[in-house]
Amino acid sequence: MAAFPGPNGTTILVRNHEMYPGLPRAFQGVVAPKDRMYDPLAPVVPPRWLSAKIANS
Amino acid sequence: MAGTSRNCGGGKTPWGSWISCEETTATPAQPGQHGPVQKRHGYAFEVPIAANGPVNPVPLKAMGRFQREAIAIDPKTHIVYQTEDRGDSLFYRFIPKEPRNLAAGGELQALKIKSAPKLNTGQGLPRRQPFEVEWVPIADPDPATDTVRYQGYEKGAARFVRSEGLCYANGAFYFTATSGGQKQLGQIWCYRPGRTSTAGGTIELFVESAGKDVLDYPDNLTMAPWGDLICCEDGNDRTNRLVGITPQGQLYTFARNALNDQELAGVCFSPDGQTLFVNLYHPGMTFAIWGPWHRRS
Repeated sequence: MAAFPGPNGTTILVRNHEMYPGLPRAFQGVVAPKDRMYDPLAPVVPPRWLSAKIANS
Repeated sequence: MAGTSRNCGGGKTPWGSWISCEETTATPAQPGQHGPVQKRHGYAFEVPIAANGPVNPVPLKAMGRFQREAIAIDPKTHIVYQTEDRGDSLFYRFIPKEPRNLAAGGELQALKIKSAPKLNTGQGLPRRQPFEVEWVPIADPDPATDTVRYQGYEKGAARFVRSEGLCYANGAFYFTATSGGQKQLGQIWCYRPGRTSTAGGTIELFVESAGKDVLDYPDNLTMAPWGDLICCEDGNDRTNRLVGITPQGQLYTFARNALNDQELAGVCFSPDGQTLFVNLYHPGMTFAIWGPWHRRS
């Protein structure tokens, strides 16, 4: 994550947001159109700890 | 930007963009580790902060294909320094052909300690003793499999135990070796570049954890406006904290995650130094904490 100076005294904050197909709605965010995605299939498998969270949600 | 995988610490450029780093080398022909993919992964991608929509993701292949955690750029030379989250990782730098144009290519190199080729830095090194550095070239920065680190090691590059967080401050680059040290609880290294891009510079062990109570698996880090490092812990069996580190290497607890046992990540300050931002890895929250932050207390 990094903070940059934005217009009119604002701050632009840039961060990663990991997403995986099949996540419940609460875990999903904005997805780019497929033609703007580097690899439409990645990522597919959530890490083990997140799979457990999803299963329990 | 979307369609990349396991994007990790990343880093900012001095020219107003963000470098996002894939911490996986998933390969189409080798499904399994992180799921099937259609393209090779393990690259850095640049995202202009002025973008107002999804950007065209261009893998910066000359910067290397490995489990990249973070980058930091020397504001004077624009050389890009890079960490790799592997138990036998190397510390890399990328010398771009053109300033402010990483896509134009350049040369990838790995750090070698002059007096001790192939040094394993995980244990047994003294604190605050500078070692002279030279940089060895990586002939193939974009191999078919995850072998960049082996190329560098064969040429004498030093190994670090999971190099992760990386930041630039006051002419030096600080990076964590999350599982390094005698107790395998973490180290923080300080690399000072030489006067020119061809000069090797020096590296020294800045901090090594003496116990979980003081520092447990250091990960992302940043320099605070008052001149101390602030480091996120990614420990496994206790509350994770933000740990402050003075220029003399003294450690103190700055904050702790009182919500759950997940790691804090991405710590950084606003450009005016008034706000500290930090992420909670799960459930994916970002916190803004207002100072004043111009001095320690």
